[in-house]
Amino acid sequence: MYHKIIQIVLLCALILLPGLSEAEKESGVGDTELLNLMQFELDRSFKNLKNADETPIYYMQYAVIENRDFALAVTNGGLEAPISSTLRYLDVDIRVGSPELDNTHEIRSDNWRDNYTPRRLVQFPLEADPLAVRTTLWNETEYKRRKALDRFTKVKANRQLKVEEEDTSADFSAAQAQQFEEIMPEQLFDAEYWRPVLKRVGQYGAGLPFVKNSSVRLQLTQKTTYMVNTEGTRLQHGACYIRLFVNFTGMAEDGMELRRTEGWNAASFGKLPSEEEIMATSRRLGAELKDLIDAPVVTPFVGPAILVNRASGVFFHEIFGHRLEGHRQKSESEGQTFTKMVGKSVLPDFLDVLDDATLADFDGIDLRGYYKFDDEGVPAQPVSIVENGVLKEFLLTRSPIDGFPRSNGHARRDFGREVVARMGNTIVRSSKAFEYQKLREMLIDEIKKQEKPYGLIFQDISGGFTMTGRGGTQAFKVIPLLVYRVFPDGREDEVVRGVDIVGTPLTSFSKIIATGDDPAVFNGTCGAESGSVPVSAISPSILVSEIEVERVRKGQEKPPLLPPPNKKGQGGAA
Amino acid sequence: MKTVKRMSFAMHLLVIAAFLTVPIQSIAADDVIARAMADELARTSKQLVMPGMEPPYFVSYCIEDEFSAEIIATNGAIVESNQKANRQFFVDVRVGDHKLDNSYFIGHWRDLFGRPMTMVEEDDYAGIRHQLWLYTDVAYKKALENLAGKKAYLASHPVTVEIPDFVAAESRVVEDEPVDLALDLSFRQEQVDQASKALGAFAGLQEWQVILQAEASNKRYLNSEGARFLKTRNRCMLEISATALAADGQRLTNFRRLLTVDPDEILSGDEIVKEAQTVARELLEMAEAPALDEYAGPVLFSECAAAQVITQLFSGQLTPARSPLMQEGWMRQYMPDAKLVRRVNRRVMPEFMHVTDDPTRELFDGVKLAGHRLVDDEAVASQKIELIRAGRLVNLPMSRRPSKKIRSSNGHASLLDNQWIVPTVSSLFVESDKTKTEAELLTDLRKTAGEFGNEYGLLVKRLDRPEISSRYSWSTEQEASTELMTDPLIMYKVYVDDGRVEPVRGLTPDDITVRSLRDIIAIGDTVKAFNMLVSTSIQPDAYAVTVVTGSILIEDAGFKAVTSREPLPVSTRPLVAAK
Repeated sequence: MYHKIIQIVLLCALILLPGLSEAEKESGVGDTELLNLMQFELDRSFKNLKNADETPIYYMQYAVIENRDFALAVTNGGLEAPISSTLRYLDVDIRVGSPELDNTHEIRSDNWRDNYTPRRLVQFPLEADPLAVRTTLWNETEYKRRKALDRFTKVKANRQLKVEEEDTSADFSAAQAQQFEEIMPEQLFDAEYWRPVLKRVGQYGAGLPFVKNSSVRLQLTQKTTYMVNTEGTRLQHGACYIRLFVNFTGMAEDGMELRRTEGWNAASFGKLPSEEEIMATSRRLGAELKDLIDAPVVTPFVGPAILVNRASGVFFHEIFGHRLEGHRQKSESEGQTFTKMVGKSVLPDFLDVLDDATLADFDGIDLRGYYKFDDEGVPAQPVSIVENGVLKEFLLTRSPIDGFPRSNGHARRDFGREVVARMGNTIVRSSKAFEYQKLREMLIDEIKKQEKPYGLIFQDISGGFTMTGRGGTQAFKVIPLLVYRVFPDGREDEVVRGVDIVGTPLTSFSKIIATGDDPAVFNGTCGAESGSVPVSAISPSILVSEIEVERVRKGQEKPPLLPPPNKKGQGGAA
Repeated sequence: MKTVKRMSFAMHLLVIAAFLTVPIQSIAADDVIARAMADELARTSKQLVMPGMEPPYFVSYCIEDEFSAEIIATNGAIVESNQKANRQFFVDVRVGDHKLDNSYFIGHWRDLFGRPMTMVEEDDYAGIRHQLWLYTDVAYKKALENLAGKKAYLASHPVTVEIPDFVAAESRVVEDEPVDLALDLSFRQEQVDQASKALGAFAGLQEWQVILQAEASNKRYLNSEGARFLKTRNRCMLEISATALAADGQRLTNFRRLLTVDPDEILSGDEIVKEAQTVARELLEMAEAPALDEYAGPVLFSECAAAQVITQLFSGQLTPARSPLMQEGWMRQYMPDAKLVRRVNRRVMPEFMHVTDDPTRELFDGVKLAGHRLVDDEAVASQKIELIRAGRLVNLPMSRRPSKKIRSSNGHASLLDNQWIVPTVSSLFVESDKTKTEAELLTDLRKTAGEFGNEYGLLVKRLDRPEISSRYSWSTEQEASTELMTDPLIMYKVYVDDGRVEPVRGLTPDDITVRSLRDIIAIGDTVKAFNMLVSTSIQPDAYAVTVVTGSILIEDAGFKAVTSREPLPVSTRPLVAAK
């Protein structure tokens, strides 16, 4: 069973790390010596190990991921301890057997552990000390070699014992060797500027009487990847992820926890909003949260709806994108919703879908799904997944699938995990696009046509999950944060709460009637088998003739018995 | 440190009866944390009640500000150098009464693995009070729910002897001067790096690590009975560990841990290198040594191993004096019964042995003791207690949760990270009416081994710490051991005939129990203080203790062969720098 969630908000309690001045002094991110050492040890290991056993090693890859993290946060009006850390982690990939059949091949069994590799975190030297770097590489290589040989023994037996697989394509495809090295400019985290800004915004949220918890958080992750493989690839490339979040939570009288969140994502600090913008957004979030707390609860409902652009992006990511990841077309345990539908219509004919990780920004907004090379060293490339509603291609790693023998640069993972095909920047385009106001009028027409008492507008969605495995229901659930009820008689829209969107993919996509002309970016973090990876989804608003909502699982706790302390007009102070 | 006995015991009881209305003794105006705690506790005491249900009869708040610095070098280079600050909150809300309250009932697995709640780091009065308010609300509702669950459990599991859940204790106000939390280990980075690099010269090592940690904390406590403390803590730990494979594939590890309560007691750079080299030499000596299949007979535990014997077979089996009630049987594995608590007033060691636990002792032979404290985590004055008198167990470390035989606290409560307040030992002093020199102990070992008909006796200098050795294991399916004692890491044969000493490996304890304490036949006269971190079944390195002891000779202990093996590397470890 496959389970994923896009995280919009990080609400982790954080710990203090040293001051930020050290980062501010440095000018670039990159270790020019490290690749040489990695290459040296890779060559030595491959030469010594490739024929050391009866089963040959035919491919090896070393990757070192360096993450420089800085963060500041304010919770309930008080500053959290800042974070500052630099860590490196090592991933060693070894393939034994042959490209046709190797140790990564799926084992068909009822034991989920046969195809599950626990995350393995190997800390790596922060300096390019030859002995330390090579010893750590050597030790991990020996470990991974042993694991690869053990698994290959099981793979061979499994293949003999089980029926022939539907997809008999090989386990590994050829790819052109890549050489690329860059030194990333250092992003200066100006804590002196941001600390009082976050504090003022945090104090605003904490001062709202209906806000139970508030947090404001700014974080920088500057990531550098160093990679070499036995085919001659040699890469050093970087990425920068800056995120600013404002998050307010509250509780309705019936115990339902509610929240409003806004996030900004950028690759440089210059693209973050001003304090005035952040404060204005915070005021809007506060007002929306108050409305939500006072809002009525919606009962289960099937009817027409609009998913506003960013919410629609999440919808497509969850329901469509994950089902197009290459490994899901090959695995015998996957539902394979679209595997046999290449060349056939899967969406309305006015929709195109592509995934283009080469796109660094859209309409001035930096995209988190942008990268130069994937985690198998293949260059990122645009992939036209759906054209005029017809399925054309899948998202592919170097594990080929039937009819698609080559990677298109979508192998991704968080360090310590195994790579699988993942989305980058998923883009939905429409040739049947209307101004939003027109789309709204079309919604009201649809409500009337179906004689429904109301329709719904999903303004904001936090994420959701989808199950793609054959062992489950292969359905999806998407979690709205802000929903409006739209009446056909001209009454004012009403905020409602307490519903999740549910359904199955094929039915849901057949209900899309039209789209807006308002594409917008959702930047998030996607979690799946290969861990958390940054992604983006770009979509216009969509009008659907029918969507199903069900009641959310709601907290049963009563609101706090005492009023909050320190808040004006609450009488809470002792 | 100033200690103030705030009120008489009788007065204290009256205060409890009147419930929680005593104003907190003056708190320094600039202590924002204490002021926020006092104000919210006062509001909680006066106003917090669920309509139709009972208010709390006891509330305590504890906020610990901890700052830690850590340098980790692996395989010859720094892999991590960090500093962290944590502000953690612990709350104890009790409903019911002293006779029966919500405490110590595990109705859900989450109750076992509770975690401290994080607080904002800034000394922001409003932010701290806001979080205190929310956490207290949750804790109070949970307490009401737990009391109902406990009553239901007791209705179907009636008890024959009613023991109160909570006993009164003298209310105390103890205040240390807060320690400076701005630790700086940066000047040590080079030393840790050099020690790690020095180990690179030992070709037989597969992996190694040098860790230097320093912690400082200020812990503030306040309860609704008027007790209050501000306790401080400094702790530094140097850990050196390494692993190697024997020719037959047995994985061996060795380590050295040096825990101090004074940063000035950390070794110099040269000394750290020497310690690291000793760890490597010992390990490689073991890797070259022959593996034994089994052993039964006398064992001399010396150096660190003697202190480990005391913590594993003795002090770890003294608490808790009274186990919590558990809704489901499987939960017991995470809070197993201590094996000595039912042996109070019975002999558990030979008559010549005496053991005291003295948390009030600050120094031994110039060494600052990690177990030192003047007040426990329930604000009860820490007391020196006699645990073993002439071999007989006469007392137990106690918190305010009484047991059948011991009905009052002796100031040994420790607040653990999983939110449990448990009694723990602090500084153990192992004494003997008849001590022997190290040479005499070796002679006795040989003599006793000869009486067993053995060719040799065993000398053990270090026992395993699984939390260290497991970092190096390649196996993902390790069996949980039911043994109280961990595997010997550094051990030697001492031959009966000529006293020669040879390293050996490959043994694991075979049913060595608390009864082995009765088989102690001699204690060494070279007594040392060992500061150690002790793990619980839920939390590794949960609390610090000091064991002051000499070598321990046990007459009869059994060991069997370690059977797990790992494949050997097919390539050699790189020993020279790449060009």
